[in-house]
Amino acid sequence: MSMRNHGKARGVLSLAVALWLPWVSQTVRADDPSILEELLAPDYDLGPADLMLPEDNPFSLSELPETQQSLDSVVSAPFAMQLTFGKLGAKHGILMRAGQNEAGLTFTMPVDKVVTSARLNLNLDISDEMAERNAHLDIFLNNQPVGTLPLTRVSGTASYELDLPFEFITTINDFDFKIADDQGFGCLIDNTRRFTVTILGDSTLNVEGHSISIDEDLSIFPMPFVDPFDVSKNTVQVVLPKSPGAGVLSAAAILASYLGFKADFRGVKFKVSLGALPERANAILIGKPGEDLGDIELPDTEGLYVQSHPGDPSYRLILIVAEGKQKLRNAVGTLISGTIPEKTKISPIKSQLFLPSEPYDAPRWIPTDRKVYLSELIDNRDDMISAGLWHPPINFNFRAAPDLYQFYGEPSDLYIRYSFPLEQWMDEPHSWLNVTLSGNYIRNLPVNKAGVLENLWRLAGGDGRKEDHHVQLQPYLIYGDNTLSLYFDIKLKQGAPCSLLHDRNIKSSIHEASYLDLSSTKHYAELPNLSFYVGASFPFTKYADFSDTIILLPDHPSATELQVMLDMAARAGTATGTPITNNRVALGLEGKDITHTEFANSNILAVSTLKHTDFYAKLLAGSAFRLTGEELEVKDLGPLSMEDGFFGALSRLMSGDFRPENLDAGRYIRSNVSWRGFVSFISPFRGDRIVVAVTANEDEQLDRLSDDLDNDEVNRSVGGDLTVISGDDSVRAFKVGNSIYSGDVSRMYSMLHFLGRHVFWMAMFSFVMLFAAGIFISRALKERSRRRLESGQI
Amino acid sequence: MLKFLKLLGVLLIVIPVPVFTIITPMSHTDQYIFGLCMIGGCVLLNHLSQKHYISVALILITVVCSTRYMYFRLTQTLELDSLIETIFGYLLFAAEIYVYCILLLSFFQMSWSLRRKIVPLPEDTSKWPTVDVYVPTYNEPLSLVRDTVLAAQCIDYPKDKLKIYILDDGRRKEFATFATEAGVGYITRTDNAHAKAGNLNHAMQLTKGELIAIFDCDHISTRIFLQATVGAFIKDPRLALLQTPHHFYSPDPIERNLYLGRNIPTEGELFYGPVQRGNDNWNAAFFCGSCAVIRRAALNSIGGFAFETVTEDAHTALRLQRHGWNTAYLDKILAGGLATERLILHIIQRNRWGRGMIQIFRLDNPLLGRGLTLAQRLCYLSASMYFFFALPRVIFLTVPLFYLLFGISVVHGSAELLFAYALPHLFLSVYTSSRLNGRYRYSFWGEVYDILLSFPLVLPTLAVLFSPHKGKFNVTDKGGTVDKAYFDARAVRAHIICAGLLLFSMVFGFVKYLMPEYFDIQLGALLLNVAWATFNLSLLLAAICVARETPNLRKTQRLELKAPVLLYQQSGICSRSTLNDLSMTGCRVENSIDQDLLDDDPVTDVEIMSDFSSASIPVEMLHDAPGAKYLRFKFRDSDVDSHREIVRLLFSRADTWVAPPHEKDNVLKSYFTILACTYDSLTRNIRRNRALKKQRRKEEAARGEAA
Repeated sequence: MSMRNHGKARGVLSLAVALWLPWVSQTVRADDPSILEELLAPDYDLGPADLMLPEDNPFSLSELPETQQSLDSVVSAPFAMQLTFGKLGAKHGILMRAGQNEAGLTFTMPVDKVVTSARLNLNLDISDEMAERNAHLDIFLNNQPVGTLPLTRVSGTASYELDLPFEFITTINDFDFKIADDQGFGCLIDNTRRFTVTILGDSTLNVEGHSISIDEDLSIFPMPFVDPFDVSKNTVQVVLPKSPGAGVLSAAAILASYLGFKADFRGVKFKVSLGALPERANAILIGKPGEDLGDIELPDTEGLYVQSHPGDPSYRLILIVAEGKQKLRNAVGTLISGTIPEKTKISPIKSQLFLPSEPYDAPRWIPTDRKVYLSELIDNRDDMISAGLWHPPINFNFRAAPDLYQFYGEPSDLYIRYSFPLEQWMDEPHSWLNVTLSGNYIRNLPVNKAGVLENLWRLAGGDGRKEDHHVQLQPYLIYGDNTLSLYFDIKLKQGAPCSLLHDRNIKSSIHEASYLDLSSTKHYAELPNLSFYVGASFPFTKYADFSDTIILLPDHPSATELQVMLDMAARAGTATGTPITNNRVALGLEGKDITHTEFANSNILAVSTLKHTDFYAKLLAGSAFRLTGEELEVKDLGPLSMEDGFFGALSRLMSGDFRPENLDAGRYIRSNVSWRGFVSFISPFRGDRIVVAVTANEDEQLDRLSDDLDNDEVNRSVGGDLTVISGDDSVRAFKVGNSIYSGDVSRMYSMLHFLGRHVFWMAMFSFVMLFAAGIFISRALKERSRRRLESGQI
Repeated sequence: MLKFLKLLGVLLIVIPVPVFTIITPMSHTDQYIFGLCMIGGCVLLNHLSQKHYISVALILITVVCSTRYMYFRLTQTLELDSLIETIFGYLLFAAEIYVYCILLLSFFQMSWSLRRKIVPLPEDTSKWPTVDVYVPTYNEPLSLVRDTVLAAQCIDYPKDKLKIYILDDGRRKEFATFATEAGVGYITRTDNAHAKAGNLNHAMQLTKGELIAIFDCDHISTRIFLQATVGAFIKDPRLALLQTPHHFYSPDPIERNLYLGRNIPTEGELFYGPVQRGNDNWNAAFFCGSCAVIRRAALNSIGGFAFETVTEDAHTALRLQRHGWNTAYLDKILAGGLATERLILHIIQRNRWGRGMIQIFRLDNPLLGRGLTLAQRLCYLSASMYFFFALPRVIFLTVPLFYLLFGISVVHGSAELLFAYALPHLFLSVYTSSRLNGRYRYSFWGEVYDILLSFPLVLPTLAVLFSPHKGKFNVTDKGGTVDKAYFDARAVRAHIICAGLLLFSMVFGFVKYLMPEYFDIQLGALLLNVAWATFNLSLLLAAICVARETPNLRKTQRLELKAPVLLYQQSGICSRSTLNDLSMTGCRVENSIDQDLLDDDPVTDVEIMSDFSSASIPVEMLHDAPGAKYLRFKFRDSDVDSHREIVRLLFSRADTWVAPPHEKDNVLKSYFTILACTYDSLTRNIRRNRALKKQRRKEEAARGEAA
């Protein structure tokens, strides 16, 4: 076995395999029986732990004859794909060193692709000591040796190219890397960590081949749009009527969020065409019965349809045909409900029940009203046991509502029960269980209890093992997406036998009683906060189904604006793990004054370029922004500015809120010819609601937003209430407008929080009050003592 | 009603402010900001003016900051991991609650210092009440009691209205003889039931004075004692008790062994200053057993002196007040006495006080029962709770050991946060106390006094808490002497052990920090604990130094007194001179006579003259080197009358005990003074040896030169 360095991809994959393999079998059958034979070759060690094949093994040869019928319809298209190791989960490369001379990497291929050529580009970083050792790196693909690279006389970075036998590549594949030499490298215990080889994260796997078409079957949706075996981000074509109504857009948004949910961390991107069918692509079409969508006319009956692309039969079209908001919603609901029977080409629309969300009920968000056992955060409980001396960290991934808030001094409780191996050779004082949260070091837990008495007791032969610990997690360490990483860093005593290095019977484990308790947290945060938005589509996802959100578009949105709207919906689905089934779409603000009830009760997610000036004029009323022509301007709300009236200025002055970034922000926007970004402010319709406007000064810029957010660095830089992205990846975030605190807390709590944020003023105020009380009490005491001395009666 | 509503309105506006100030949670940086704002504000106010309203404001701010700390401790620091941590953690918290309560009570007590003036007596002496003066004694030597009785005889009061009694529980003949010679009453009884209280109650049945003045047998009164005190009883017919300060003209062991001549307020000055004056403001001044005047009618109404506890005085006052009688405190020193001579006696005396006050707490708790106002209850509660200090003090001393030695964290949470919260609490409570009582007790000296008594008092006070009926009255020996310097290790054995442990634990803590693989030590917590241990150690060392007894050979006290004298030589030659100092056994006079004349014709009598009288006393001359600046005389055994004259001269003047007030306290300076005292005490021997060596060397050199 080898080290699997695949992060969170693994859990998703094994689950996906279980769910999707029935369908895989059909595709493969439809295409080329020889591949199936390869898949079933005994050499392939797709163990049960990795694959979890369902009872009715789809690889059964007996089903083969059936598939012959569909061979005629097979049309293939060429494809080429480049996978970096970073994308496969080894972002920081794979480190191998003395004592830990084996490593591995798992990758998957989309099920509708057949590989005809594969090439591996390995970038290695080899230490000087390693280079002198005359060692070599053996590479195995699915347990077959595919090459050996010399590590001698090359120090620093080196690149190698290796042609891989493409016939070895299947849906799920393992690379294994092993360092060996003639001098017993496998037995070298190197605590100095000088003998290292790193396979860098920019190493690539290039594959070429052809796509094969899939069945016309509604039940396999979201195939072919989202493929769990495809590690790259897919683009989904959506075809809408020329001027789509709110109902169609709302349905499309539900669908987009569902695809976002299914695509998960890989993401999904949309391409919208209005009244025209894209060439050579799978597409989703939404419209009313009989509607003309360019090259295709929708059927006259409401329902769900799947059919081949009229221009290229290797592509599939899914037609959602319904009229009216409710019908459309039901149609999408039926499609994503998972209740469509297999091999259905046409399905009627079934009425769906969309129960409104409770606050913070997103399935992907960790519950905060109870202890969450760590075993709930991992797909396979066996993964809580580490075998051998060298093993990956045990990772627990969880998302949390971004507005988790804790008062100082009430850290969350992470309780860990753990056991190190009971072995003579372990250097106990220097072995630790490392606890990190999303890359932040939290603490090291010892093998043995610390302390004088404990050490004496252990010297006397008693049991001094430390077996559990309450780790305090500070609330600021927990944000949207988190990985709790527990790593048994076991060190060996000098002279430990070599056999130990590869002994898989050495077990270290995290006990199932371990838990994470966030119940001391509250939902409470300062809004607007754009980093909440890009991280978790918050505050809209507070109700995961968007039931308190209005998606606001201009009167006549462009295809780009619609496409970005769908991208944003998909992100919400990814963040919550549930589609936004109760969203509402509004087109334009015509006739909506500030007393409009529906708008007043909702947060607003607006997607529009700045070309729609009337629309923005209304939306930006009362905020720190204003539109001049088609230019966004930031109001100067400095200490002396009366832009928002005398009392506004006074209140800012009194609370020490001097808005130092406003002038900068204004200048920065003016200095950028074209930009895209986010603007967030308090809703003009109600003081406790938030508007997030996804905007740009032109469509071309808006189009780039989805890709921008995939860039980790850009994503991290988004924040404040104004984020401007320009050029390729230059990001500036500003805090320029008013903000509110909102959340599910009592009045008392928010009051205490308010005071806690204004410590200086609170101290001053209570000082003055106590001083005044002092004068009052002093006078009373003086009067009292006078009377006592005079009369003696008190 | 309107007034009540007005008060309610003010409270409704004012109360939310401190409440929110107390409960708002903060990060440690915010808490630092808050704490520094409060501290800075208070320091500024303190320097602004000495006005009373600023003191009250300081008290209020301190109370808010301390309450904030306690609230933080209660809500955020008590979630402890293990049973042992929980036990010690809650113990520490209980100790902190105690200190916090005492702080609040003492602020309440001292919120206004009532400065009572002497109420003049009516011109017509026939309206003056009759007074019995009681001098109870049990085993004290006659020499001590004699001065007290003679001084009482010198009190200015109509002779027919003043009767003096020696209440001798020791049934000694020489006392009866002396009483006859001096012309005072002598009362004794067949048993010693109920000790001092029983003695007084017995005497009460035999005498008839309307007022009773009580002097312990070492308290020598001034002549104005009754004139200063009796007027208050005429003015207020419900006044049961008027207490005056206990002043000690001999140094107590702390003063003698640790102050080493520095001008520092003594232990009692705080109590007989701001505390009793504050009590008086709330009509809760209490009886301290001596130097007080009590109304017989009031005593009769409660059945005489209380004898259920070993501190009959405080208990009697409490009873009087429960029956609606008033008490008062006159802050004028009208009598002087002897302090306890040695540390061990000091400890025994405080042991009795502690047991007695806790007996009151248990048997007649001031919070319960009828008859007291809320303010009186709080004042008496403060007094009766004070002597619980021993256990909390020991806990504070030893808590750093837990972490440094055993790694037991008794406070949950980060050291930074704890320190941020504790800083304003600790600083302001010390700082405000310093402002309020700075002339009566310097900062941190209270801690030294408490630490000194803490270990010996833990068990006795706890025992009394659980079985309050046990406990014997032990008489404090006074008038003894310390003949030579010695170290009373017995009295401070526990202190020495504790100091050793603290020292070891600090070193050990750092050693542990350097071995992280074996010990789990956090730097912040380590530093906090080491700082705490260092502070403890410094005060503990000061307390230990008190046990280095220094000799105090003079049996009676010598007073510097400038007065004209006449020296009578054997031949009858009389010459004028000036008295330099005087004690009960002898005097020193400026040498105004030629040496030649003196050798053959020694001085036999000295006549000391004062404003009202003069007394001629037979003396024996002590021989000094010829030409000395002073002539020294030892008084021969004299009759009672001339002895009375010496007493009158020495002690009876109204201004006998007037002393200038101490300098104002400075918190930091006071701490360094403690360190300096400790250092001096520790190096005293070394310095003395060095001085002796130097002297010897000089002598040798001189001899060498002479040779």
